[in-house]
Parts: sequence; C-alpha cells; structure tokens
Amino acid sequence: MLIWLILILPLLALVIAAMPISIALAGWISVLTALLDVVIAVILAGEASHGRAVVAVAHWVGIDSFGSLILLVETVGALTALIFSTGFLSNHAAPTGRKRRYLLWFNLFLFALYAVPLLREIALIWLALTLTTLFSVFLVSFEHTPAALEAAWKYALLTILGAAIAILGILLLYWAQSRVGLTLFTWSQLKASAPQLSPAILNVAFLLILIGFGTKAALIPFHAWLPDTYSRAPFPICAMLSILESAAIPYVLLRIAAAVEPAPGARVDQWLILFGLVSAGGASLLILQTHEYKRLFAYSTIENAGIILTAGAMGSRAIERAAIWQIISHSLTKPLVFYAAGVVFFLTGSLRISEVRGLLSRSVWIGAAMMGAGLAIAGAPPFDIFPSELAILKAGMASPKLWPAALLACFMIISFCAITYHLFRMVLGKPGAEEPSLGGSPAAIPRSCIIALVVAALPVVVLGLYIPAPLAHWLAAATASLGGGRP
Amino acid sequence: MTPDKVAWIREVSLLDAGCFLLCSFGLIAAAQVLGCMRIYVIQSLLLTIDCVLLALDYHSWDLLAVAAIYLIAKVLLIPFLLRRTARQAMIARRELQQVINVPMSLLIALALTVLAYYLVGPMLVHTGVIIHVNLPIGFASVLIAVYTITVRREALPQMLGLLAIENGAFFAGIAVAPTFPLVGELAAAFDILIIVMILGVLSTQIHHLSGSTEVGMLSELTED
Repeated sequence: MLIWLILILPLLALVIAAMPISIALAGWISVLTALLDVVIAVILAGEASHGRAVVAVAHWVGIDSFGSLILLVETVGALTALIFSTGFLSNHAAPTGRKRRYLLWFNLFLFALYAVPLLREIALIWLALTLTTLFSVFLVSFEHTPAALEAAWKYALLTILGAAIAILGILLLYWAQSRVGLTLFTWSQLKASAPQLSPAILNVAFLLILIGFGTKAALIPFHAWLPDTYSRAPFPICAMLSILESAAIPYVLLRIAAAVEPAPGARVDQWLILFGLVSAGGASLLILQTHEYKRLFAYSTIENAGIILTAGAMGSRAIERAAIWQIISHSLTKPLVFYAAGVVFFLTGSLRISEVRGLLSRSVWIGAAMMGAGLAIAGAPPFDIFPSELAILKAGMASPKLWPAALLACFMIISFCAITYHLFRMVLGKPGAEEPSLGGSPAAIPRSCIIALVVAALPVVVLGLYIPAPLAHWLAAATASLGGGRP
Repeated sequence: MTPDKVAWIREVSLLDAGCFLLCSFGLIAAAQVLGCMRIYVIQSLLLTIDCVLLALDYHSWDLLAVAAIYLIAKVLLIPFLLRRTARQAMIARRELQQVINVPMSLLIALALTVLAYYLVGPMLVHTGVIIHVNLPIGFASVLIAVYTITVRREALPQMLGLLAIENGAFFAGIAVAPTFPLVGELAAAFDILIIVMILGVLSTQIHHLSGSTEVGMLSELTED
C-alpha cells in the first residue's frame, strides 16, 4: 500500500498543479506531497531493513533495503528541490503557463524517478529511466532561449541514444537468461540464472548496458551533453539530475553487476572499474580547467558516479557498503551545492567563476553558505562526504585490488584541490571594480530558497559528525541485499 | 509445418533482413526529411513482417502480438504524430546538410556492417539460422543509425536516426529473445511514442525561436 502511495503522491500533486490555482499554492502543495513521500520512504526503509523485501506485486513491484535507501535520497532531494523551485518560480519572469508546466513536468519526473527503485522487472526499470529523461526535457529548456532549447535537444538526443543502446544490451541479457530456462526478467531470476549464463553474450550485453546507461549518467567519454545541459537548466533541475546520475543509475548498474557476477568468465567488474576510473579521473581534470561554477559541480557529479561505480565493483563487502554510503552522502550534498550556487547566481547574475569574486565581502551569509557547501562536496571534514570517501579508501586499501583504490585516492585529492581552488577564488578576495553589481541584493533572494538551503544542509552536517544507529543498520542491510556471497 | 514451408519462411525472412539493412543505408543517403521518414516507415514495416515470419517459425503467439504493437506504434502512429508535431520541418523541400558527404558515409556504413559481423561472431555459437541472420544485421543497423545521428545536422533526421536505433535493437531482439516479456515490448512502444511527441514539440520550438531546425552538435562544448 505504502509503495503505491509513493507513486500516487506525485501524480496527485500534478493533478492539483494542473488546476487553475496560483503557482505559489500549487508549488507548496507539491512540497507537501514531497514531504509525505519522504515520510513514507523512511517507513519503507525501516521495514525493508529487516532483510525482507516489501512487496506490492510479486516479481514486479517491491522494494528491498538497497532500493529503499535510493528511494529515500531521491525523496529528500525532491523535497528540497521543490522548496527551492517555489522561490525560483516566484522570482522568475516567465509566463504563468510555463511555470505551471514546470510543476507538471517536475512531478511527472519524480514519478518516473521513484519508480526506478520500486520496480523489479528489468525492462520496466529501463522504461522508468528513459521516462526520467523524457519528462525532464522541458525542465531543462525552461528558460526557453535558443541556447536552452539546444541544450535540451542535446540532452534528450544523447541520453535517448544511450537508452536505445541499453535496450539492445537488455535484450541480449534476457537472451542469455532465457537460454538457461528462466523467463521472468527480474532481479531474483537474473541472479538465479547467473552461474549458467554464457559469458560471450553476457559480456557484450553488460558492455552495451554500461555504455547506454553510462551515457545517461554522463560517464566519460559519453558526457558530451552534460556541460550545456547543466549550464542552461534551472538550479533545482541540476540537483535532481545529479541525483539521477549518481544514485539511480549506479543503483541499476551495480544491481545488474552484482546479479550476474557469479557467472563464469564474466568481466562486468573490470568494465565497471575501467569506466568508473576513467570518469573519476577525467572529471577531476575537467574540474580543474572549468570556467563556470555550475559546470564545476556537474563535473563533480561525474567524478562521484565514477567513484561509486569503481568502489561498488571492487569486490569486498566493506567497500560495497562504502560505495552505498557514498551514494547517500553525495546525493544529500549535491543538491545543497546547487542551491548555494543558485543563491550566488541570484546575487551576482553571472555563472562565470572569474566574474564572481569576493562573495564574502558582498554578503557574509551567502559567502559562508557557498564556502560550506563547496567544501562539503569537495570532501572536507566535518561534512558527510568525508567519512564515506575515507571508508572507500580504507576498504580499498584492504581489498585485493589495490591499484584502483590508489588511483581513486589520487583523483579525490586532485578534485579536492581543484574545487577548493575555484571556491576560494569565488568566496574570498575583493569584488572586482570593473564589474559592479550585476544582479540583485541579498534581500532579493526568495525566502524559500534559503529554507531549501537550510533543510538540505541539515543532513549533510549531521551525517558528517556521526552516523545514527538506524542508518548504519540500513547500510548493512542494503549491502547484504546487493551482494551475493561475497566475504 | 512441413519442411518446405519452413524453408520458404526462412528465405523470405532472409530477403526481409537484407531489405532492412538496405533501409539503414537509405537513411544515410536520403536527401530530404520526407524521404528519411518514408524510409523509416518502410524499415518499421519490414521489422513487422519479420516479426510475423518469426512468429510462424517459432510458433509464438507472443511475437504476433509484438508484430501488432509494431504495426500500430511504428508504422501508423509515429508518422501521424510526426506530421502533427513537426509539420513545417517535415514538408520542407530542402537538401539536408551532412557533415560527411554521402558516398563517404555509405563506405563508412559498409565498414560498420563488417564490424558488426565481427563483433557478434563469438555470440553465435550453438544458435539457429535465424539468429545468425538477425543478430548481426540488427547490430549493424544500430551502429549505422548511431553514425547517422552524428553526421546529421538537423533535428528531425537525428530523431529518425534515434528511432532507427530502436528498430535495429528490436530486429536483433525478436530473434534472440522471442519470449521477451510482452510488457517490455509494450514499454518500448510506449517509450518511442513519447519520444516522438516530446522531441517533435521541442524541434518545433527550436524552429520557431531560431528559424531553423539545425542543431549544431558540440558547438558549445569547449570551455572558452
């Protein structure tokens, strides 16, 4: 019942937003439904953590502890993104019709996003992931400028291209499974058939799925759509796309990899580590040379997706747990960073790092928020990414695969230095004389944007300081539900 | 079924597969949007026919249902939706621009076909004759369609390239996974319809705002 409610609530918000009520009211009703979804996700995570999946329809709809954690971070991200959106919309000069459509598409997008961890049938999960792209196309093009439309086109074209390649991989994977004699295409049946899968088919199938979904997650070298899309999309959309890329898609990839891992001759772990390392390394170098702070954080999402995929494939229970932890901490932190960046944009009116100088001297609060959020995403203590990255490195050093762990450590250090370098340039220093106030004053920032910032900051700070016992328990249960018979 | 009939079905499906691949080449060579769309519809029709032939060969009711889904979604609804959402761009009688000229592109497509046969080779151990035909041709069609998207400069041909990738994937899919859950097929059909609607609307918006449907891929990628 609760599982259905998760999916019904966004649709309910959508219907209400379609009615002729004011945009602000429609926005806050969407926030309310998102809040209810968070509560339900917490309850589901509690139920699923006992090691038993919560099932709505056998074989088709249900959630286990790994899925429930993904659902939880999705709902939390959606809540803050919607709060931020109400402020963003109230400040925006777009016509009412377009603002209303923003809320409609946003709720549809949430519906598809929540469906990913709730579905058990792999073809349907593929559908849900593709729908997240389709429903977010008009969110990306919200500004309705030629540049925004072109960015949306690129985003849609390349990610759908990825989805089409992924479906070929999924069909091949099903072929391999059906040759064993199991015809239901669910996680459990895939796992059951794994020891007898043909390695020749399995490896090609997984590679196609990895390339396909990797395009959607903007793994390097399939990230061509990402810089434009993130530059043009509204800030809350960037936050949601980041959660999609670094939580929902790694969830699916790690699930498939864990399910087929017992197959003899399977090379899925090597593929994941290769693509993960290339993405983490490439993104940390891209961070170094970027000129826009929005893109900076977009590249950091790729880096984290790479870290998560690498860590998830390195083969010990401890590092899988750390990878899931990293999914959670990154998905909680990244929205915060985009909200801080959004507030900075409201203040300065510029996306270029070189044009945003001396934030601290212009507004102490905004400067401090940007500094805190930036340090959090860079992985500095006392924020929540620090302990999860540390856990990955610790478990990596103890695992038999030492060199990926060593490379990950290098990439983490590079990106930490690069992010803090750009951050200090933005926050400290004196505002340049040649560029007077491009944008508004701190007073012009909508209150709900500040609320979103505070709400998003809470878990980042709290989880950086200590891990509550239930969460530690959920993490262990999620690792157990992912892993096969690993030590 | 008599052996004669089986042989007949296989020969027709072989011919169908050849024409299917030819359509992929045609998508690269077509000079106008309307031509691209016609070739896409023909390719979808060939996919549907192949599906019916396979249904007879495998004695599968599921595949017949799949053929019906293809017929409704790809052969009938997609052209209809495209004409509705992107009418202007569709009927424009202009030469399409292409980054690499047609003869060169056709040569590259040929190379991609050879590559596809090479790639699927290891998978074809202990498989039937139908898979031997459909799998490499499906793979080749996917590769050629990906290439088409990268060389086309305008919105609608790019979108038709996307749809052609899906055709290629399912051309391979119906042979290797005839028992693929029907819900998966329905999901894919539903998905492409939404793709057509959303991308159609988006391309029309681009057309209105910038006066052409040319989308300069990768133009803003570099950090200036």
